Order: sequence, then structure tokens, then C-alpha cells
Amino acid sequence: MSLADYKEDVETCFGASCGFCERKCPVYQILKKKTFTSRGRNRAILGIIEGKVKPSAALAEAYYQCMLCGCCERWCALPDTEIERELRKYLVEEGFEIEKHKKNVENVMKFGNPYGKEDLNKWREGIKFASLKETDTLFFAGCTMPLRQPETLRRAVELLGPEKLAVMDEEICCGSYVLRTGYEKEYNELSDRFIKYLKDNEIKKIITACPGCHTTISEKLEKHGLEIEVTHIIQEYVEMLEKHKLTVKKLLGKATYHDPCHLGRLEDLIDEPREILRQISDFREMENHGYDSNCCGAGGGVRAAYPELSMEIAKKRIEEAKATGAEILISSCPFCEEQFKTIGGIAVMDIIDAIWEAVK
Amino acid sequence: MYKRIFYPFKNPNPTQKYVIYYNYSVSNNAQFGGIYVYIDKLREKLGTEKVLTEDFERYVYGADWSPRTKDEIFPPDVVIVPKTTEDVAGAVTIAYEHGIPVTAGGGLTGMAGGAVPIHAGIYIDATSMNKIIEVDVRNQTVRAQGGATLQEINDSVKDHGLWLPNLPESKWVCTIGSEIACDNDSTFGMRYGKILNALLSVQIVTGTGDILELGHRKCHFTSSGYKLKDLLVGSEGTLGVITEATVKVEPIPDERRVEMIIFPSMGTAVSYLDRLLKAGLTVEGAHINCKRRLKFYTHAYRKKYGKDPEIPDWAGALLAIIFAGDKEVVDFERNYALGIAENMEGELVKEREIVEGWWISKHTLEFPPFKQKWPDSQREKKFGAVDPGIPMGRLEEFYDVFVKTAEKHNLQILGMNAYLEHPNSIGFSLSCALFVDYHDQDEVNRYRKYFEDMAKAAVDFEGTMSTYMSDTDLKVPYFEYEHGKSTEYMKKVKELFDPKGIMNPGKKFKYRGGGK
Repeated sequence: MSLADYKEDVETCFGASCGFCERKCPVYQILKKKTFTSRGRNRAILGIIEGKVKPSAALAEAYYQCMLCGCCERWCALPDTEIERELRKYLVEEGFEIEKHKKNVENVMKFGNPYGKEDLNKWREGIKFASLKETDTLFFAGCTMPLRQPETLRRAVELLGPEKLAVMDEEICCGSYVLRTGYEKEYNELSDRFIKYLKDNEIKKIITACPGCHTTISEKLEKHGLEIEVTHIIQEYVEMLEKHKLTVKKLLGKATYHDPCHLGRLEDLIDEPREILRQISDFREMENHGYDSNCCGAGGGVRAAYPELSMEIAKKRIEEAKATGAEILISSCPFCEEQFKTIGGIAVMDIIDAIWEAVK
Repeated sequence: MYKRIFYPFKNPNPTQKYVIYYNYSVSNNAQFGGIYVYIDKLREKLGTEKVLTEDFERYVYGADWSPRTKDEIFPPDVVIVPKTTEDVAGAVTIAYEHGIPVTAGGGLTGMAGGAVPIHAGIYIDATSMNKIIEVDVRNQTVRAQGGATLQEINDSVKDHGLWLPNLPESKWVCTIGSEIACDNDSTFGMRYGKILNALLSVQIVTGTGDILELGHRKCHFTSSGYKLKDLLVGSEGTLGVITEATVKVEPIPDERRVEMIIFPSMGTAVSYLDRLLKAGLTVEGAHINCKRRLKFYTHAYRKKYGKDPEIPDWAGALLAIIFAGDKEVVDFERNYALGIAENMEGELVKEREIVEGWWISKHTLEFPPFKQKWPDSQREKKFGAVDPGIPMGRLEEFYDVFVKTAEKHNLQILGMNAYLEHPNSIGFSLSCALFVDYHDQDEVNRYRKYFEDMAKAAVDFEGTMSTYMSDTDLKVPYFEYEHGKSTEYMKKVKELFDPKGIMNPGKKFKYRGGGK
């Protein structure tokens, strides 16, 4: 694919020019410049395709300030986030890279995670997983939970039963960060390794713990035509509750749920977490939830490259959560939770920990 | 590497050159003989972060929703994103000093290019001024900055049980300043009228940079002085930039019922509405769709069922009618109205999906995720309309003119809609719409010729060229066809507010040029 492949879409955006993408765009609502909206971005891409706009450092700076959260796309019928990803790919190819992204991508390629850490498997210590000869179900932990929420991850696996799950000896990064910051060559390299591993080991099912990994793995399997089931850990818990393999009590107080963009709006996993939370807490909704959920501000490399903007967006989401009267803000994404914990003002909990508390 | 290039667009005003300005800086300004010194002054006055000069930034602001090809995008030389009235006044003062064109815009969803900066210069993105300044619940008024969207105004008062009912379909992005400046229409016009009915006071920055408050504070009307505030409605920013406005808001009705009634002709639907008014009913909104037009408003229905809704062959018009208030009153008014309809050849549309599909499209905008109507229905051709007003008794006749004019220019008809926009009387705002292939310059040009023919026909029908888009640059060549000698008086009014003719030049009247 190239930017020119989206010519019809960006021309349609120019023709329709409805601007509905502006209303909920978390970045536009803070920065208030039309260049930051999907309409603005699509218009600029039209200009690039037509040779009337030249790529520049300023253009790259502007268009990397997007979390790829899909808030615009929810109110559109064009593949806005896909177009933005293509723009980033083009910018990288043209040499307009964001230094922080470049460094993190180098880390991914060297260490398997953007943080440049080497102890990704430490969380597994003492857990006895099944071997790939015993199961064809792979548990994929990702990189952020092992480093930032190792105890939550241990609980996740304990609830599922580690004896039914295999893990990669050294996880091959799903490439979410690399994909979303425009590094196609590196992403394809990671994907090829990932796909080869799945084929070589005849994996039939992958359970993910991180929403970003979930969408990225699903996307790459579809692209490669692999019929491997991918579930998020929440789906597993819902099934366990339905089959009474897991019993919970309403032990938590007033709680609300933040839909991670990659799980809710982009993967349609909206009802499942609520099914759980209604059983274990005094649950209440934020004004913007489900498809209309506001982003936490972490995605698309924004937290790494534009921390102030990222925090501003997170603050607004915290205010929404507090307005419900909730005492606990529950989510299911390590990035979202990290954002909210940094801002503070409300207790933040992963849904895995919430379930752990409820079955305790 | 700095360079100056000239835009390859057709220049409607040969005295002005379109300039793309790459990587503007003080150093390259010197190379250009200092003609962009005003941009330095803007930066100095407003701060660098409020002054945008990159080509991609300016390109974004070069077009609105109107039918145009991509070769007709007109980027301004510089975009400013002000936060306060003082920022706007500062920018306009600099523009006045240097004779630079100033075009202010909001959501850029205009249907005829009203906020497109066709003579370049400074573009003011008013959406950066979106503060709600005061909500006065006791007096039911809201004071907002000009860049607040109609939705943002409504969000600010909904918890008080109030709303601003002057709402076009673009309400999510249409700003209060734009609503006033282009004199937009509203879904609920038959009860609440157009924005002038709600507008109490307005603050503007004139073409010299003066800050003026026009209106009657929080009072609904006045008989003191000239009504200068009213001049702002439909002025398209040619008199000044609207920086703040006070509007009255209304109690939110508890209950609303939307119905559709089929009539054999548009004329019968008009007679029916007249009969309802005679009966003493209060109609919140009424829209007479010709049969073809309904298809455009049933996008949700088509998406769901994969087919167009079935309308009987005898149908000539579909009246969408809205009742709102207390439940008992709404039920009574609805039943009474339907009883009258039966005696006037009207047949209620019983398939609620048709009615609800129309209502989603017209007002709630609750499209299924990722399937919003506008981009989805505009891939090949887009909506293009002309907005004449005609007297109430001549709708049928004018419909024939619409069809014949569209056929004369070989354009695909989308349909006609008569919006009832005057409180408690039959006052039309017509939308005579086509599908326009915006990839084809010849078709866009034919659309503009159709636009001219229809505008002139409306005047011939003892009507008016425009009812919700204003004049823009399209009606400039035949402005006098409607206004005759009064055109000169209007020009003098503009000169009073805008002595150098720099405010949204080329709209309503020809740009006098000069300046930079």
C-alpha cells in the first residue's frame, strides 16, 4: 500500500467535508487546530498526492500527535486510522522521523520491547506452563505488562490455569508500536518471525493480555490468511464465569470502566468487561463509553513523543471517571492504567486484579 | 531552501496573486521585499503558536463543503488561531494597516464557499475561541465565544433543561459565529425560526479592528436605535468577525413525536400545514420532501435493508412533521393533525424505520459506528444545492422550474425540500439539490450555472436568491438582479464597518483589491 492507494478516500473526505471527526477527537479538542483532525490530515494527504503540499518536519510533528484511537472513525465511514498509519509510513520513508520513536523502534528490534529491557521473562518465575507438545494454545503476555504489572500478569495466568497454556521462550514482539509509528520494514520483519513461529509450532489459539497486542496479532493473522483464534483474556474470563469455572462476589465498591480503544472501539469487546464488572462491583458508566469512549492519551506513540499532550488527555478522562461518583477506575490495558496512575485522583485497577479480588 | 511559487489555480481576481508560502521566516521575507512583514507583526502580537504558515496548515483551510474540484482549494497566506477577542482585534488591526484580506471561518461546512479565503490573506480559525462565557439560567440566555459549536452551547445548558433549538444538520461543527454569519437554517424552524429569533447581542471586530457590541443585552427586542445587530445575520463576515454572541435558549420539551405523511402533491402538503396553523396547533418542525429527496435521507434505512423505502406511486410529497411538548399535548396535537390529514388526502407513513431513518439523518445523527452518512454517500458525487425562497403559493410551479433547470444543465436531480423556517407561518427555505461530480470541472461549472439560473428564477417568482447559504462569491455577478439600487446602499454599509474592504473580500461584492 502507499498513500496514493487512499486517493479515493481522501478525495471523498474532501468532497464530504462534514467535520464530524472534530467533535470527539481528543487531540483537536485540546489543540483546536483543524490540521489535527482527520479531515485536516486527509486534506493534507490530498495535497501531498496532488503535489501541492510537501512533507516537512512540521507536518510530521503535527501528524504524530494522534493516538490512532479511532474516535474520528467512529463518526466517519472512511478508514481514517489506517490512512494515518499510511501517512506515518510515508513520513518515515521520506526521512521525517520522531527521534523518540526511532529510539524505541531500535529497542524493539534489539530487545523485543520499546523500553530496551532484557528481563521480560522475570514475571514467569515459578509458574509452570505447559509445553508446546502438551497444548496448542499460546499465552501472549506482550512487553508492557511483564515490566509494569508483573503481579497482575501472574494473577491472570493463575486464574486461567497455566498448565493449559504455552508461552514463547522469548516472546517475539507483536510489533504494535513499530506498526503505529510508521516503520513498515521493521514491522514486516517482526511479523515474518512471528508467523513462522506460529506455523512451526502449529498454534491453534492465542490468548492476549494487552489490547494493543490483540489488535496487532489479529490484523497480521488476517493479512497472512492464518486461521488461528485470538482472544483477549477478558473473553476467557467471561466464558469461565458462564460455565461456572470461576465464581465471583460483589466485593468492590463504586467502579467505572475505561474502554481501551484497541479493545472497545476497534475490536468490539464492549459488553464482556461489563458483564464481569456488574457481577463484582457497584458499576456505573462514564458519559463517553463503548464505541464513544474517550482515549487515555497514550496510544500511537503520543505518550513517548508528546507527554504533555498525552497527560492533558488523560486528565480529561480521569475527570469523566470521577464525575460518575466512582471510587475505582478499572481498565484492561497497561498503557491506559499507567496514564491514569500518573495523573492520580482516583484508584486505578486492572480488570484482572478486580476479578482476583472478587474470587479471593 | 525557501521559495515562493504561484498557485496554479484560476485566479478570479487578476489584481491579486495567489501565493504559496513555504517555510516562512523573517529571512525569506526580506527576499520578497518585505511584503509579508504583516506575518511577523501577527507573530509578535499573538505569539508564534497562534500563527500558522506551513503549507499543509494553510491547505486545510482552503475549502469548505461546497461543490468544487480539488483544483479549487484556496489556501490563505496565513492562518491564525486566536483565543480572545483581543487576539482577533490585534490581527485585524494589522490587516487594516497593511490592507490584507481577512476571512474568518468556523466548522467549514458551508455549502457555497462563504468562508473560503478566495483572496488569500489571513484566515481566522474561530473554532479556537469556543468558551462558554455565561449561562444565565434565570434569564434563559447563553453568552459564548463565536467559535463555540451549537452542540457545545447545547451541552452547556442541557443540565438546566434548556436548549438552543436553532440547529442545522451540521450542529456538531457549525459554530455560533458561522450560524449568524451565514444565516443558517434549522430543523425546528417552524416553532423557533432562524437564528435571528434567538440572537440578543453580538460582539464583533470591525474591519478597522474596533470592538463593538451590537444588540439589546438580554432583552428579546428593542425599539431603540438602528438594529445594527440584525445586519450581522447573513453578513458572511464582510462587516466584521463575530467574536462573542448572546442567544436566548428555550426549555427542552419533555416529549417529541416525529411523523411522516404522504400527500399527492407538494401543494397539498402546504395547504395541510396552513390548515394546522388555522386549527391553532403548534408545529415544532415541518419539512416537505419531494419524493426523490427522501432517498437521500434514508441512508440508514438503505444500509439496514439494502433497498430504498417503498413509497406509493401516487405520492408527490412526504411531509415530515414534528410535535413537541408535554406528552398529553403532543398526543392531542398529533392525533388532531392526523385527523385533518385524512380529510386532505394525506396518508400516514406506518413503517417507522423510514421515519426514524430520516430523523437520524436530520437530527440525532446516531449513525451506526463507522457508517456515518456523509462520507459514505459522497464517494462519487456530492450533494450540491441552491437555496432560494419563494412565496408560499408557488411551490408546485417552482418545483417544475427546478426539474427543468437541472435537466437543462444535464445534472442528476437529488430532490427538493421545503424547510418551514418562520415561526408559526408558512415561510419556506428551499433546498433544490443535485448530485454533483466534484471530480469533473465541467460538471461543477454546470452546477454553478444551474445555481445562477435557479437564483434568478426565485427572484422572478417574487422571492429571494438565498435563504440559508447567503451570497458568497457565487452570487456576486448577479447580486443586483435581486437588490437593484439598494446594492449601493449595502456597499456603503460595508464601507462603514470595513473601510478598506478587507473583510471576507469577494463575498457579496467584488473585491476592490489593493493592500499588500
